[in-house]
Amino acid sequence: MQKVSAVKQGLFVIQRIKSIKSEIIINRIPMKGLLLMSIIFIRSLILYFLVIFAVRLMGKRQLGELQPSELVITILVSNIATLPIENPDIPVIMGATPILSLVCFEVIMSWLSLKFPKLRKLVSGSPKIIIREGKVDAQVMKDLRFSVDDLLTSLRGKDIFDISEVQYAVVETTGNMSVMKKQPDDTPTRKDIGLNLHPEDPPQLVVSDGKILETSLKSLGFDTQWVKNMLSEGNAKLSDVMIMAADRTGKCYIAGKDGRKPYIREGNVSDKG
Amino acid sequence: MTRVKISFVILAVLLGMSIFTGVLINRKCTDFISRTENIWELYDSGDHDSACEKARAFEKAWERFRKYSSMLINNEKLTEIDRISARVIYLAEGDSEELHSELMELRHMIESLEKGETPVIESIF
Repeated sequence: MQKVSAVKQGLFVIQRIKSIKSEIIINRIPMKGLLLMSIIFIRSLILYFLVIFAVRLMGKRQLGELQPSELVITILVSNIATLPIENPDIPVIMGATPILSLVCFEVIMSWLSLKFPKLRKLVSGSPKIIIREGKVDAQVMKDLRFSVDDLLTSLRGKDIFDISEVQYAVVETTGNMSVMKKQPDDTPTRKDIGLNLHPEDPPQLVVSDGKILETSLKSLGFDTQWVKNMLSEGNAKLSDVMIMAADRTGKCYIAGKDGRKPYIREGNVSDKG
Repeated sequence: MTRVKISFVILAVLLGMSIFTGVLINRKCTDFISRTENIWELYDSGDHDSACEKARAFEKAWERFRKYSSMLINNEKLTEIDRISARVIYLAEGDSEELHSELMELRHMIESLEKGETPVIESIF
């Protein structure tokens, strides 16, 4: 009986030595390092696409001004995404779950804020008028913990160096300041000067990197033949065009890939077919 | 509105998955705990061969569980149990006195794993 158990022990020990030996062989060559690098590479790709998806799900708003909750989510998402990349022991789902949960909560909270103004006020706060009818509100400055230096810095950021020019200044929920100047100090508009101009539509991109954008072209009321006519006027080939923008009047701008001076043609409504 | 709908769907999927995986891990851990008790009972009753067989069966079952649980649970938690389960077989086959303490530790590790994956106040905070 003792002999049998001794044989069994011996066989077990031999088996263990073999497995340890193969581990040593694997560790000696850089195979383990390469395998780990490939795991990290694949995880980075997965989380990259996940973060892109999350940012797209939150919507275009996030690419511009951020509300406090949106800023928090953005920072959290970026930090959480690094955890499974840095540590291969953490499953990818441990990164994906909080990212998706936070983003979905944020989207739902934004939607609820639209429906319930009180909730919006609770989550995002409300804009504060810091200068009203040319007078600085000290109480609002105190509430916002805005110093005089902060106020003047924000105004300079709006190209206002003389505080007496300001009629209203509002600190938005994003922390930015919106300013309305007093009329005598404000830039005159065409209407003020009395210019009678027709409303203009913005030009649209009709050719991008050698490809005609049919949808834009149709919305302007032009066709592919018109594009070809314009290109021949500007001595350009379609494949050499980087940007071609046009408006309804037929005014067009053609910039080539070769870096030469762009061709600009003034508008003529009779160009339309 | 599309984004809101997608968000609700994603949250529902995440919730469903977390409930499902929680229940699955809970059941598996309960099964592994009962296996360790079984090994203990067999060893104490003198049936060492059956105890060794159960220990090997435990390790195989653990390996199968580990394959998919490593996608859900932190690897460090699972590695410790790997080490102890391998040692249990060796101790059972060697009629070692340390087997009881190892089985107790193994049971404790699995119970910790089970509690850690269950959404109770202690594990959440």
